[in-house]
Amino acid sequence: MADGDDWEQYSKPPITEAAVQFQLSSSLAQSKVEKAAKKLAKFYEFSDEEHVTEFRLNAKTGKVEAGNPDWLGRKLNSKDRTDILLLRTNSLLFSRLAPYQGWSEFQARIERDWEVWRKATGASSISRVGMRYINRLDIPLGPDATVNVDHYLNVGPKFPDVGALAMTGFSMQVRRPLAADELDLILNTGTVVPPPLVGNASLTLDIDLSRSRDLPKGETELWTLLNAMRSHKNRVFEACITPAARELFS
Amino acid sequence: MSLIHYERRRNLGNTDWSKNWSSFAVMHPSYELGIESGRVGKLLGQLGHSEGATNAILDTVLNLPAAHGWWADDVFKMASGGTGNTEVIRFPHREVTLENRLYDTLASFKVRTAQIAMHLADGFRQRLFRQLDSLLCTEDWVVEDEPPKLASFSTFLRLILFLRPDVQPGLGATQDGHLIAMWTTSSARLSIECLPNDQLRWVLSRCYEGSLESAAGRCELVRIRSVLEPYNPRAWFEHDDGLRTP
Repeated sequence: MADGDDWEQYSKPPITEAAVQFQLSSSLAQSKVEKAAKKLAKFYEFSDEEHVTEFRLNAKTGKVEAGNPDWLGRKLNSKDRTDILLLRTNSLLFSRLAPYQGWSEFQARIERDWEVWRKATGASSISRVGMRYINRLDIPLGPDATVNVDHYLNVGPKFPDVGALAMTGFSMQVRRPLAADELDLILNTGTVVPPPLVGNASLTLDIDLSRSRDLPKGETELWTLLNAMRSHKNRVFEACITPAARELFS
Repeated sequence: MSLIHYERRRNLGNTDWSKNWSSFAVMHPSYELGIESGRVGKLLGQLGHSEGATNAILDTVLNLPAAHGWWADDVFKMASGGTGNTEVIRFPHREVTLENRLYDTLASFKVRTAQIAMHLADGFRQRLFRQLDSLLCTEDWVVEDEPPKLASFSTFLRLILFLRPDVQPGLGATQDGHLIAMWTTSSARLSIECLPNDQLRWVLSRCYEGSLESAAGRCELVRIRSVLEPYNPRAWFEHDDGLRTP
């Protein structure tokens, strides 16, 4: 069984997206978010202001009422669109798309941007920390054009023998607190339709960890918590996959 | 992020989607996030998004939710408010200009590439992005032309991963929004137009024993190797014969 560090040595990590989110204890003024975005823009190629329009749908009458556009926040992007930072009045979300470059690089970006954000907005009190890793296993189809899910995942749906043919798809969610660090785990797994690769079946393994209680007051404790969450995430991942799955991305 | 699941589920419980909204629902495999896509598309149309842009938005939302947090966290956040039959959906508001359309198209192509980036050599990905930056440059774009569709780009990526050519193709686009992959040697040319849903149109020409041969056809992506086989496709795809890309 590989430990957390070994896990990142996979030559083709199946991570399609890694995300870390800090929810703030109280909302900020738009001007403070804009100030932070301006300072952070030097690290990113693109800075997009985001607005939303609200629609109210009435199912009985079928009528739709549109409101005026509201300011939502800022979205910063790297040139290749793989590094994303979403700035909101009540949260900060860091996202990294594939190819994943490892925790060290991701963590360094989070720490760098958080420092700038904190100085620009004065906001450092967090009400929730979330970490989410979405993995996708692309599995070549066998001669009979099927894939045995149990061969790749240690988690999946149970189904009684009712004389049915091969399963054509599934979606499953498990929610349970972890025994350590007061973390809540949400694990989603299922088939990806359509699979991105021709001649393959794809399974998603989406690990979402969060903590909303007893959150760190200082940065050192915050980074310690993130490292712990990452270790738990790796442990969950490794426990959910089989040696055959590891071969797919090793 | 996880909140969406429950909020949405609550609304699904309150609303009879099959009667009131719709035509069909798209389910996100991770979230069980039901999105009545026909309805969403209509609303996006009211905001001025083209059909292609709408499909790109839906596709992106469904495949990479957290990267587009305003969709995952806010846009599809439902506020049932206990009213049962009324719900609120928030959509991005964006002025529809050619510059914005090209900008959004380029962004959606790069995000889509990220979905399969683990299967691409880094050099391939970087060169592809340079090609896309150049192809979708506002200054050079013909105003009347339709920006390439994400569905066409998806077919292109699937084609590349299916063929796994040593030689990276040149890129072009048709006026109606389809990407073209091109391989050229000193004596032969192959163009494959990528249509949505794994459909391909291909045209080739090559010299055979001193005379020029040409052929064209349309096929499913999975058939492309077979239909090109009589024309020695290795001459285009493999690193020999002094191959070059346009």
